[in-house]
Amino acid sequence: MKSFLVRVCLFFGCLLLLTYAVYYLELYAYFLPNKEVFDAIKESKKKKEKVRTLIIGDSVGRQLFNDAKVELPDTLLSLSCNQAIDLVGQYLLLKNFLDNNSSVQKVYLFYNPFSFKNNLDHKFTYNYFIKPFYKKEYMPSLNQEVLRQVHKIPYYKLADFPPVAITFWTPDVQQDTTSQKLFLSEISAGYIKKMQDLTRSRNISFEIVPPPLKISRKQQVNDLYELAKPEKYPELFSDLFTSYFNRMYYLPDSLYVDGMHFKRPEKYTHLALQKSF
Amino acid sequence: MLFNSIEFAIFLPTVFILYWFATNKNLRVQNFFLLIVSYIFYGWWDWRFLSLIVFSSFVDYFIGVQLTRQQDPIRRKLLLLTSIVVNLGFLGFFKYYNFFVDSFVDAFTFFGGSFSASTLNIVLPVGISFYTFQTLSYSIDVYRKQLEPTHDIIAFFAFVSFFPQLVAGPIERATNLLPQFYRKRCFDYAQAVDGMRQILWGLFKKIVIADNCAQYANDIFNNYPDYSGSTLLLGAVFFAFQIYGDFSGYSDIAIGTARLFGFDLMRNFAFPYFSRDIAEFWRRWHISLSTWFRDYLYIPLGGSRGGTWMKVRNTFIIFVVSGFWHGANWTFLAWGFLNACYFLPLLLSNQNRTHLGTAAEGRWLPNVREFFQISLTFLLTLVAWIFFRSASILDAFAYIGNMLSTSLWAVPEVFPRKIILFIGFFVLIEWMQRDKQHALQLDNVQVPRFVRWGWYNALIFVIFWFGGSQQEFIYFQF
Repeated sequence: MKSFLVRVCLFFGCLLLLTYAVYYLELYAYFLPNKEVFDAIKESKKKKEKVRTLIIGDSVGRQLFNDAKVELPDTLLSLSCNQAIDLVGQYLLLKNFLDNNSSVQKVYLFYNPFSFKNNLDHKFTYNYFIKPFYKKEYMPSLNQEVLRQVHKIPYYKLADFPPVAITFWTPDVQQDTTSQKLFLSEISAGYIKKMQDLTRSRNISFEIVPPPLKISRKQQVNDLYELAKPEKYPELFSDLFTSYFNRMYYLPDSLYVDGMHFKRPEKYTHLALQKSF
Repeated sequence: MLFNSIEFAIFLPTVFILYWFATNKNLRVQNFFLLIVSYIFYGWWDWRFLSLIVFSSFVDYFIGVQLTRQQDPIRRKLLLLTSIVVNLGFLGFFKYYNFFVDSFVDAFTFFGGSFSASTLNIVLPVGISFYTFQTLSYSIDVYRKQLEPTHDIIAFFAFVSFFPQLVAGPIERATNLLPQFYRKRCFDYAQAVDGMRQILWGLFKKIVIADNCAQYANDIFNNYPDYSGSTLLLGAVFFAFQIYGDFSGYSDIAIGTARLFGFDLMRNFAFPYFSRDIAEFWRRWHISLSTWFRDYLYIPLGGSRGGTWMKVRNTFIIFVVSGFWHGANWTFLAWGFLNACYFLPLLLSNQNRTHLGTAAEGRWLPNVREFFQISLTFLLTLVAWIFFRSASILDAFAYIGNMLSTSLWAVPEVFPRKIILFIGFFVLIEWMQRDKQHALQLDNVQVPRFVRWGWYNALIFVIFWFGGSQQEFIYFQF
């Protein structure tokens, strides 16, 4: 028994050391599905003087502007990664980039209409938001609602503990369905306002643009539009969302691999640039 | 509590230390400790349903004791009947009530009648199909005088609720597991180390294979009209590996965990996808359930001793009941029926015990004939899994229809290379170890420690980095 325990402790000790090494060398970032978020953060901290137009957005944006391998002008940069970082994550990426680059003239938030209801209340929040963004450097930018939501997620304090940080383990999250009935969650509304203020203070134009959607989802979008109207953020709606809904356009269902993503994204990058921007 | 959760990662070592260091002096104390931690393990999910286990355990304990005192055959039969009614009554109510009500209303409406009946919002207690079968086996064995009834109530309650196998099996027989609660357990280094290896392989199967396959299988099955035949075929393959990785992974973790506590549970899976015919597949898949049905249903019905009609009848009964055990849905019945259709020709032609050994025994690779047999058996099980996984029988037929269209030869829209690579790696390791109890078993093989530890660490990092998003074990719903 003694030798068993000694060997088990030795084995797990070695494993722990390895996890610390992997953590400090940031090797894990190459393997985990949330790699795109870490990549976007890294990219957002770089100096890119030529960039005039910045796109932030979700995984459809990443598909079309980052992964599609379509050559884009040097003046355009996409930091699109995933809707799971919610709009607070999008804001932090934007802030990072604008703090390091003063040449930006236009910012587009490329975002699907069904994701504005996210309120850091889904099972991906742990790996996509808490691990990359719930850090000291971002704390001043996190509002009370964000902190309240994060603190609801079990083991949020362990997110930076190397054996947890280097894995894609997710605690069980009971999804709060309140925000699911809305068009715009409290966090989304708050951080769209923050994006507006941030860009205004630097004389940068800011727009929210939709991705090309499946034609079969048109009715859902119309329902969403009806749902959006009576909400408590009329100024956002008149300012940003009217043009957002007006720009909505649809493509045949057969082009999509699931509810949102394209089978051949490279074919639609230019179409999206033309239609959305 | 899930085996792949942080809670269990804390629970297991704590229980292990207390078990071997604080309670090992006295067997009854140790059994009582196991009983308490098993109830904690189960109650973590929903403590209210503990009352069902306690009640079921009490009924079968009491019936066992009464069966020894009672010599009158009619009274003995009545006692056994009570156990069957109580256990199957719980199962029937929690698992099948809504199904029967819905089916009755559907049938009534189909024949032009109008009938309304209310279904209930019933929560299915996790593991009910497993522990009710386990306690039933005890009562039946005592009734048949194949087992001496226990007078040790703590040992019996601990046997019913033994946490490693409580919620998803293996469904243990009292003849195997109960006597282990009477014996003083001694720590066995080799057994414990092998148990750890089996746990690791079980976690790999569940987290890397099953959870990753689940993501694609769910998407493809839920949106099957949108996909080409080739993608649907791939979806069925993903589901086949999901259910195998999920369920056999759970069994591996359960068996490995039990070994850490000095218990030997029965084997539940024996590399079933390397079977050369369906009969062999059923000797290798969910062995604890197949043998349960064989011993307590098939053989009492006459087994394969009677004439052709008897064989046909019994085969269909056992497979359809086995399908129904999985859940209250016509799809499970269809799955059982289909397997009976696969099995019957082998039984009637006396070919059902042709392949008793391991495929390609003593060789690295199968010969052409074996390769063809293994592939065909896998294809047949794939078709059956489509029924098992689909939401309804109509969906299953539509899925198969779309799969067998001309688009079967098209390039699949979904082709996750990483997952396919993992499945390939998984099949390779299992193939190399197919004559062992589990894929990480090291019997009579001397491998330097740094190589072994390096290999385990590599597997752990693969689990860390390439694990799918956590899914509940499929068999929790059964």
